[in-house]
Amino acid sequence: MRLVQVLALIGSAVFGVLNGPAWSQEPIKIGVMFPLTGPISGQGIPERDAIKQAFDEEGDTVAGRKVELLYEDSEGRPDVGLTKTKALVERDKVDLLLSELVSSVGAAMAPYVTQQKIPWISTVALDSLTRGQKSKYIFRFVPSTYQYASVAARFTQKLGWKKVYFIGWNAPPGRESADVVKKFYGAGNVLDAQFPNVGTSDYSPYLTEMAAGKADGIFAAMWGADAPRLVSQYADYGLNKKMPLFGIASFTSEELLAHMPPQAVGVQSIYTYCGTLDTPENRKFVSGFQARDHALPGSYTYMGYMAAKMVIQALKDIGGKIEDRDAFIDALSKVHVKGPMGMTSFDSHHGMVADFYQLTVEKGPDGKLQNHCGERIAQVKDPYDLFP
Amino acid sequence: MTALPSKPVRSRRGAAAVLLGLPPALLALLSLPYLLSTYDLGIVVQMMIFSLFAMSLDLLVGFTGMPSLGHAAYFGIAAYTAGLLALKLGWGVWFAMPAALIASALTAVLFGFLALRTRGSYFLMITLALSQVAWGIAFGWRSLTGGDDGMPNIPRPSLDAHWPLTDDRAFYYFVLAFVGLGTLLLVRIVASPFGYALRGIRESETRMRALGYDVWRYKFAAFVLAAVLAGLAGCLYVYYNRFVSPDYLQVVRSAEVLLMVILGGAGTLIGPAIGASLIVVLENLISAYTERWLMMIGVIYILVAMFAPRGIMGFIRERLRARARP
Repeated sequence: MRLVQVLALIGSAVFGVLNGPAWSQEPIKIGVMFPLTGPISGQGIPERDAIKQAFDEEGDTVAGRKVELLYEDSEGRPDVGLTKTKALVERDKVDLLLSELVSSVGAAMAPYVTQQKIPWISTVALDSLTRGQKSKYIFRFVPSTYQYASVAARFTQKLGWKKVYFIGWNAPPGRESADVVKKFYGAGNVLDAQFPNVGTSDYSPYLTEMAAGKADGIFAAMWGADAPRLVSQYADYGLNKKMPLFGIASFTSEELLAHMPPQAVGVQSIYTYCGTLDTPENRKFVSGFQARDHALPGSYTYMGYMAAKMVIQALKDIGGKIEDRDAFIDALSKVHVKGPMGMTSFDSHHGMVADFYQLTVEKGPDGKLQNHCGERIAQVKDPYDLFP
Repeated sequence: MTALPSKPVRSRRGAAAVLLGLPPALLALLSLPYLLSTYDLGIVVQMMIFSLFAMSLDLLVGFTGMPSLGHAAYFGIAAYTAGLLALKLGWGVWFAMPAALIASALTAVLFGFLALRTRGSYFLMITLALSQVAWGIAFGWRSLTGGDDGMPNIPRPSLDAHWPLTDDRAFYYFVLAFVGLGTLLLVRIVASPFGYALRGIRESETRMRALGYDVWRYKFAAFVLAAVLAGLAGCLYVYYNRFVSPDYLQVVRSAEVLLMVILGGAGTLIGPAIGASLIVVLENLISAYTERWLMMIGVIYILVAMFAPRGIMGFIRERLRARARP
């Protein structure tokens, strides 16, 4: 084993001398780490595949240089994710990271990535990545909690909502969404805010209370298997005829719609991806994704795909010379890419800037649930002034 | 459970082998930082930390016969204490670490009073429940612990103004020293009259009671000692990772360390260290090539359960014993 490695090393050294500057021949290495096992793998695996799709569309070659994607499994656990990130950076010597969606893993990675000066394009919806843990090397291509919750609060106020209920996960995204709703509506107008634990199976105690009260609507900030469960119980209590349900972030994302009951028709949300939007870029994305996965892409897959597109464009802008990290970071922070949902870019804190769409669940022509694309809210930025 | 010899089969040859083997092994451990890359060195650090963690559990599972499914609680409580003291109060390692060990000892005293009333699977259940309480506090008390996201940016310790441990090599020696100390302590405990009393309790509590031993007090002491050593592992892990999150004291981690002990061979001390090292290596080596690495570990567990029910070390010892008897 050792001998083979030594021989390979000598071989590559000789080869390198014969072929002039080594960097022009070496592939660009990108570390792609997502939860591929464990409870969050349902989002991690499609997102990884979407990143792969974006590079496949380029023929795995950007600006004349081959691109090599190195995959790792974070298991959605922070200590494992940090170790795997170290493996990618120190062992595999990747040039940049296109990784992760779990916030606790992201929080653990941030100091290390900054210390190692490795560009990291994350899809972790962690506010602190563009605030307390902000660094030159970290880019966040996903709306922060403050960002998506503010859009939802502002939009419903425009609908004329005055008094609301809130139900959300007893976890950072649920709690912070509630903070945002309270800030916009005033604490007195949030009649009740409930925080059931992740994985709660029975929402009846919360729903009976809401059924008795008088509010203009209910905000829901929970995802995964909990969102479909909440929607079916919301319908069971007849609340769907009484009070509209407004999901925060990816509540009605296509990945979750597949598991929603038929009564989900009419549930609304506002987020970055609408599967039925008819643009050439979206058609290409959807057909390409279905060809490899047979499922409809949703917001997670969209963000993985677009994060990769941003990297590809930035690499093109610097002629593939990833060795100059500062130039790459400079290019990435200026890059504008027109994707399936419109123009996307990064703000001065390296947070995501993108168009949001108001979504209403409807029954599609094939009888399956789909999102109706409503109003477009152009170029939504992270509200740093409201939530520093 | 089959009766084990009350005194270990310790031949003179075995002692000589240990004496001869120790200096080269020590030399190898001391020279590792100059042979390995920083990443591989990090994996070795993890192997050492989890070895200590698994060995501390072995004191309960293997030597006293108390299968705990909540051992991560002490690992995590020490980690949180060390992390909080470093982050919020700026305490150095020489104050934060003892405080963290005291915190896990006090937790073990409290939990011990509750858990030691039970035996066997009931003990398993109550340790599981108690560790969930600790997890719930870490997860729920967001203003103090950061909730689900945990606490990042915990500084690496420095021994004094001239000895910062930010350098990976220096940190390796720091971990090596403490894991070595912990291991030495465990070896001494296991070989002491106290250790033999624990083995007696494992084999027959009633007989030990008839011999005049205060069984509860022995079990309690073992429980607290194991917690303190798990806490030491937790401290080292928090300094290594530079963050702490509720994941540190989750049931999954408790189960993982129990599996390390069983895989390596409970009641052998070296076995759990082997089991822990094996799992760390497999997790980090195989997962680069396939996302089905969990399946590989599963297959290994099945193979061990079928062909070496006493774990890897138990298997090796049986072989050696069979060879010794012609």
